[in-house]
Amino acid sequence: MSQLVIAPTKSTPEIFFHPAENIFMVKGISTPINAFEFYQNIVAWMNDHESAFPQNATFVFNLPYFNSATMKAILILLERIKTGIDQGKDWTIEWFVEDDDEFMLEAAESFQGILGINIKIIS
Amino acid sequence: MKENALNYFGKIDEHCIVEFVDLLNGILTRNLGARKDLRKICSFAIELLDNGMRYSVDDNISFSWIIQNDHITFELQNLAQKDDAVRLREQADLIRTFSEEESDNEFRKVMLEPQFGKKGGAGLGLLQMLRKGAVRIDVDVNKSTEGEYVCVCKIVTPIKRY
Repeated sequence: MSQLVIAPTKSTPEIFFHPAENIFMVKGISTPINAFEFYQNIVAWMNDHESAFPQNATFVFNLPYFNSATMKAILILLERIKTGIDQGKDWTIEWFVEDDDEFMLEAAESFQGILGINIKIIS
Repeated sequence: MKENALNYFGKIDEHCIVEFVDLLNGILTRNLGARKDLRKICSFAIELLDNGMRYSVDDNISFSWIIQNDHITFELQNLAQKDDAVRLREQADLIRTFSEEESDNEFRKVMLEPQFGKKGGAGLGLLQMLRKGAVRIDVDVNKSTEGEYVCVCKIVTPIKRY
């Protein structure tokens, strides 16, 4: 079974997409200069492997810091997830917020407002 | 709030940004204690340093913060290509005129535009700082050499009392 594993760096998050285990995680600081390229690679991998994703996949985002280029790039990834949901998948999105942090919470609210999707806040 | 300041001149890259943010977070936590707006304050530094990283023509920046009374002031100076410097100043001039509703609408519009800038930016940095409560956003540009301008960006944001 194929999986997408990208080790974290100081400025990019860990990516661990493992369809067989139903783990789809983006975790860590994200301040790369090429945010679009970084997240577009994840979207491309999803396009190639979506058939292996479970019907009830849960996508987990835990991003303590990120730049605005990352925010826009993550929107593209969330749009891709939304496409799956719109096509009948029972996918869910979880967004970690530590200690009621305003930065993390407001980002989730922005994504919900723009895309009209439900994001479950995990604190 | 205890006063403190930092001045830096030197190279900037995406790893360096994380080091600055860790330092600022540590200082704010020590002075203010754990609170829910620390990352938001640090995000101002992220956006400014991100601009410096993308647009400095020689990868050097001058960066400072000053925490004084109930405000924190960030200042970034770098040498930029004329087009980048002028665009940043024009964007600052524009967003200063925005109402809250207009800034929200602009944010949504830019987020949904599929393209990124030539240098990988989202075009959201100043706007995000405005939306997160900056009370002052000044961009000053001055010609240095043919085609290159010194760009100075100053951001002031209040530190809330809880």
